[in-house]
Amino acid sequence: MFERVGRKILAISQTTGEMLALLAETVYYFKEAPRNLPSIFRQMAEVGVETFPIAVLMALFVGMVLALQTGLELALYGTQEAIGAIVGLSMVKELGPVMTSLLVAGRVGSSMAAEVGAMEVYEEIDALKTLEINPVRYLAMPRLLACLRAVPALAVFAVMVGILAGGLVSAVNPQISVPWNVYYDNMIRVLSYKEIFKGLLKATVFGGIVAHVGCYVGFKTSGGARGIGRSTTRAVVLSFVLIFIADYFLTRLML
Amino acid sequence: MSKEEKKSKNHNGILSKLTHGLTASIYEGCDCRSTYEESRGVGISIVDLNKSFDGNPVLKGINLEIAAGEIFSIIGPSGTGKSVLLKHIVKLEKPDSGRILIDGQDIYAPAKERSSRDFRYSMVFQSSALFNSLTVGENVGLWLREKRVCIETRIRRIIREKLRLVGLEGKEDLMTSELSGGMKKRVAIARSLAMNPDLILYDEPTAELDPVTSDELARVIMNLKEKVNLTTIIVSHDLNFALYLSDRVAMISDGQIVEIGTPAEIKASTNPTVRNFIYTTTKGIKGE
Repeated sequence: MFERVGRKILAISQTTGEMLALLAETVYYFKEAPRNLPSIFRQMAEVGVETFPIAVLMALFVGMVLALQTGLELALYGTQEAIGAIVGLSMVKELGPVMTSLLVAGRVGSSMAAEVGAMEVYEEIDALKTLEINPVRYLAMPRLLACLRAVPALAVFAVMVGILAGGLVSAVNPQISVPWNVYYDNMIRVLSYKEIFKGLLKATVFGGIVAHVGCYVGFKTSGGARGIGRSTTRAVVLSFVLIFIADYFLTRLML
Repeated sequence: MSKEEKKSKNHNGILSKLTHGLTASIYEGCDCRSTYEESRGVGISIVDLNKSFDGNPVLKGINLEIAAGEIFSIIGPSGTGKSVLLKHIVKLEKPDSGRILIDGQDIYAPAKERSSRDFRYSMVFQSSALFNSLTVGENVGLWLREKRVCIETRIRRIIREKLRLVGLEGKEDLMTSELSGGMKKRVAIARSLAMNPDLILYDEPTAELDPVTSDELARVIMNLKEKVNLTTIIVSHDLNFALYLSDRVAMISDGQIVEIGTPAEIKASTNPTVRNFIYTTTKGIKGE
């Protein structure tokens, strides 16, 4: 048993070390970003534009459910005017960044791991090396930069849609019945630029985690089609876990 | 010192060597780097090379001398370490011990102990390893664009030239998923040739190819030998292909070189391992 635990600890330490080394190398190649702009924009389009409809849909229902559940509870005590503040703060500080990042992890992170993993399995990464093209610069750097830019942008839209949807439910539902101006005033009173910055910072960090995990898992892929499938799942699970861990520590740090 | 003298001094000096290897590739605004146009064969020495995977020895004390400009084939059954040996030459694997010298330079020596690489190599992979997200033209021109060797109009011209060399003229805009196995292999060769390499390595070039396409491929490699001065190393278990093309052939078995010689010498070898490989590879017609 001790041997098994020891092996697990060694494996976790190795993965952590490799991930940090890859992150350092990827960040080092940020200086080459200007010559890789087409690739970065292509990745941003994939992360941002193509995830946009589903992110909006998700935010719409998250905002509506949040307003409905919270509003009904608050209505029991006659304090439903506070719903704007609650929905606004929840969306900006937590739900917007976290839900968007989880969505991107499921949709984009998995496809990054599959794409890079397939390149690893089918010798394309080796081919890049023989062409004297650094795979980290060519593959990981554009993806990381794209996610660092696109995920916060997606989160902004998700937050806006969530807040609007919450406002709509609050106004339309007869049991809550909070007019838009009351909802809006309450929300504005508690939302400061600082809170918005915190939410954006979280989304940026989570975006970085999704891209970095996708690339790392992709580079470590082996074992043919089955290996690619395993990598896809591993990238999603690892991204989710790291997003939740980072969420706690970021929240703690920014209290 | 006159301009001509300066140019000549540069041509023979360290700068020329560096730009030939394009180790310090930067865009210079000229039509094309002069050193890109030239390619020269490089000599290779492999000295006592050993490699194990998980304690299982794959290469055992390999010693080889490959002359500059030579077409050299490494033959042998599957799983005997041929591709691993090739990967060592292009630095995709690191040996446990031993040395590989290209033009007298130990490629595994620590960076501070060796000068910058002054040769270009490329490899044609068994699976072709084309980039699926890129078109045929983008695949062929990838190295030129990434290293900014030439201006864009010249790059397009080179792509057309290299595709013509492998019989795929006008296919620049196709996606790699639209190509047959043989076409993919030829695009991979064109991509390698776009580097104007001094050394080109083929890993199982005829794998998954029908005999007619294999024959075409052999013609492409022979043509290159006539037109371009480069060293060619082919790893294959296709004996006929290797014997037809090569200046010399080495047979590898169980991680060791068991025979080296010209194709005629290999065919006439009395080594039982070689004879066994030759006679199980070319069976002829049953009953004849």
